Amino acid sequence: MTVHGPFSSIDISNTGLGYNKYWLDTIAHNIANVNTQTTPGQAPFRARIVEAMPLDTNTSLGGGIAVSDVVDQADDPAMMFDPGNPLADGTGYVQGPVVDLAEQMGNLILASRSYQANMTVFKEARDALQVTTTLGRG
Amino acid sequence: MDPLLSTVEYAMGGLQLRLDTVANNLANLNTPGFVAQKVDFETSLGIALASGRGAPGVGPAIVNSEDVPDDTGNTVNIENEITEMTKSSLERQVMVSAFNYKTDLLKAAAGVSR
Repeated sequence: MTVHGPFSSIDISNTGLGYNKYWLDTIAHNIANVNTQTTPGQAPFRARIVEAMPLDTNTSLGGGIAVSDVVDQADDPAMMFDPGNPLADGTGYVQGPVVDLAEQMGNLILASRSYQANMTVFKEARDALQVTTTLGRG
Repeated sequence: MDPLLSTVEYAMGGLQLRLDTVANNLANLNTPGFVAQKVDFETSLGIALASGRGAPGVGPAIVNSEDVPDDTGNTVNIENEITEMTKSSLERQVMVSAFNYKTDLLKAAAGVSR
């Protein structure tokens, strides 16, 4: 999408709202699975990481942001000795999720504040244009 | 009709249809498989203006959104709809200003004071 014209700020902040909402949804999914255990040998739960892509970087104005990819966190899962757990393997170990709660909470604040920042841009641009529409009114 | 007034009339009709479409899209935010719709009146208006006519003979086009669908096939995106709504509202205010400007001129020419 190429943005141009009087609504550039509104269109660009719209892409920021969409990206940060997607990021928030992903963080919600990661935090919801912070205790998801699996049997060793199976695929563990892996936190999803959203990758950003700036739009229209070849123009002077730029076109905002989009989600370019969502990748799984690559770290090794933690192994916990819990022989009573029905998910435990023959040696008594269960596999924890690959998700760092502290990191997710930090990202949650970043995504939330970024969403609010884009909403502020949206409102400021709208109010400025609102004033523009009154130009020439006697 | 005056070319400017007929252009404004066409644009305001298109903007009204766009606001109605936004309302319908938002009402179907949670409808599985619903494909969001968009209104394009600028293309037909641009062609008509380039050919020297004030307003097109055809109505605004309603096209399906090409946004990424969610798991149910629904393509409504709240941010996009709010953006369209805000832009349409601002554009309509400009159209009202243009309409008032032109009618004031015509009234002055006719010797009628407001």
